[in-house]
Amino acid sequence: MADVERARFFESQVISAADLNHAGAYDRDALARHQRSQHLWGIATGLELAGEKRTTPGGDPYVDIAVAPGLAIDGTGRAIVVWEEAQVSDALFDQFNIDTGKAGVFYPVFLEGRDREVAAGGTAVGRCASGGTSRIAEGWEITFGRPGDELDLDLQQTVAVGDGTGAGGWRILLGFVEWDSTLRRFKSVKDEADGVGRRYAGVRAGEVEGAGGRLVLRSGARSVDGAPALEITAADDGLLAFGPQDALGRVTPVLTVDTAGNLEVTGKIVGALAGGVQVESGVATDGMLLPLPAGIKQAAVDDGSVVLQVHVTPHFQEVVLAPAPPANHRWLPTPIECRVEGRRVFARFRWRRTDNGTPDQELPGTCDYTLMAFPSKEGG
Amino acid sequence: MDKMSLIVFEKTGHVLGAFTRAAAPEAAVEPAEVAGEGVWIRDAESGERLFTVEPQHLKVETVDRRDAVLLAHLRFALVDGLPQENVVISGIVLTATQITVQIGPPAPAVLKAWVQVEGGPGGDRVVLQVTIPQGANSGNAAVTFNPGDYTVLVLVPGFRTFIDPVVPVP
Repeated sequence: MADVERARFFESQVISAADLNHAGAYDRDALARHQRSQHLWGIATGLELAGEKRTTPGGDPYVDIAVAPGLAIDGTGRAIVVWEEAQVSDALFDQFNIDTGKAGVFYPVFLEGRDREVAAGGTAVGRCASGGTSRIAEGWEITFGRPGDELDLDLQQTVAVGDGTGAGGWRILLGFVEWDSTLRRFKSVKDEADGVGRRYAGVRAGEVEGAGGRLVLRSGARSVDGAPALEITAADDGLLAFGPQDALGRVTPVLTVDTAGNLEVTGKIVGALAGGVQVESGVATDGMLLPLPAGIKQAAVDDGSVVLQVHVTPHFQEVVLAPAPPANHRWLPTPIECRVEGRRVFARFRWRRTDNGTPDQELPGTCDYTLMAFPSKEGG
Repeated sequence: MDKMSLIVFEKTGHVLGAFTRAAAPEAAVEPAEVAGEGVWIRDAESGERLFTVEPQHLKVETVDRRDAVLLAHLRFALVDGLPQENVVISGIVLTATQITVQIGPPAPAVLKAWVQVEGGPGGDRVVLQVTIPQGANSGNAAVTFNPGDYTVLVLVPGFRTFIDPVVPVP
């Protein structure tokens, strides 16, 4: 078919079953094209797997698993509706013959859409009637995969760009089950295994436009108190705000950026120069390198992404030197040098007794330092 | 209590550098981060670099702050996790065939001195260990030197870091 065709009826037309089927398919196929091209496949709502602990008559524990009602959109644009809670059958799992016999192995559980002819027939009139059922149930089934099958879900074959949903069979990951090979029952259930978990439906768009001067991205439903959210608002001359939302969906900002580029953060900025200057200070002795602020590495200085500014002054503090001076006298220091090259400290003092009773002593010294690390605009 | 970090010669515990950090006083730091190619030991009078003790011989330990260590770190060694001020050794003698480390008092136990000798006519660098037997006042090791002036660094456990910028070999 070169074009998408829609049905058009006229007076006195003899309408065939094909015409009516085409009229119904037009809307369904258009919706499927929209679902798969402007949305990302996954769970739209519900469909959680929940386990209920049970015990066999012999006292062995197992879980009964059920899938909650919900809706998912598969990669062909098919909407899969699970109307009511349904058991996940351990007998069905057994039929898949995928048990590895090993403990601690989790098997992916999939939901697949599946068309099914409904037994109730239509009313056929006349000798030429072909008969058959008049309803197709857009059903679903639960299937299981081998460990690792959940990694290949993006490799599933989709349909041609103009087509409808096809016959079904697209796998949507609902969670994982652990199998007890001895009891031949489920042992446990969870949403995620090895970092792979349930995938939720999304939106594919090159641009999203807010309404009423506001656009909000929420990590949960609007009514979920504390769920992190991101808001762009035209109010107050424009602001991007991130923070938890309250039960009414209002964002309490912990980070804001205004349209002038001013950033405000109520928490702590962590990481190498994430917030600008980082400072370390203290005392350091001759011959060593001044320590860098935590998180700053010499490699960042070497590649120019971090610029250092250093200030040192002689660290004056009385030292007990031998021979001890007589009463009312002391050793007094005079700095010979106190500087840094790169981060290397050069500090030497000359110590002189105030009674001039002994020769001067020249010794390695100590300096007070302040080292600041700035992000470089040019480097890195 | 305030903390200070010590750059320590790993084999003998001698303190070769000391520093404090106000922002992260106890953060872990690798020797190379505060020593670079090595801690420099300089002639206090001329400022000339005499030795570079490379980071593979060093460790950094953070202990309670003690100002005396920060002001005169070369007098100290880290013993059982605490800085301990040590006494000076008597000296060192180099001959054409031998090096002798003289500690003065009898060694309370067998002491293994770490000796670094640099200089001479060829600009040689010799690093060796000299064993001082228990009860002895000195220890020696056979090594060949050409006549000339050498610079010597000696680290004897229980004694102060010893630096002599000019040790002649007749």
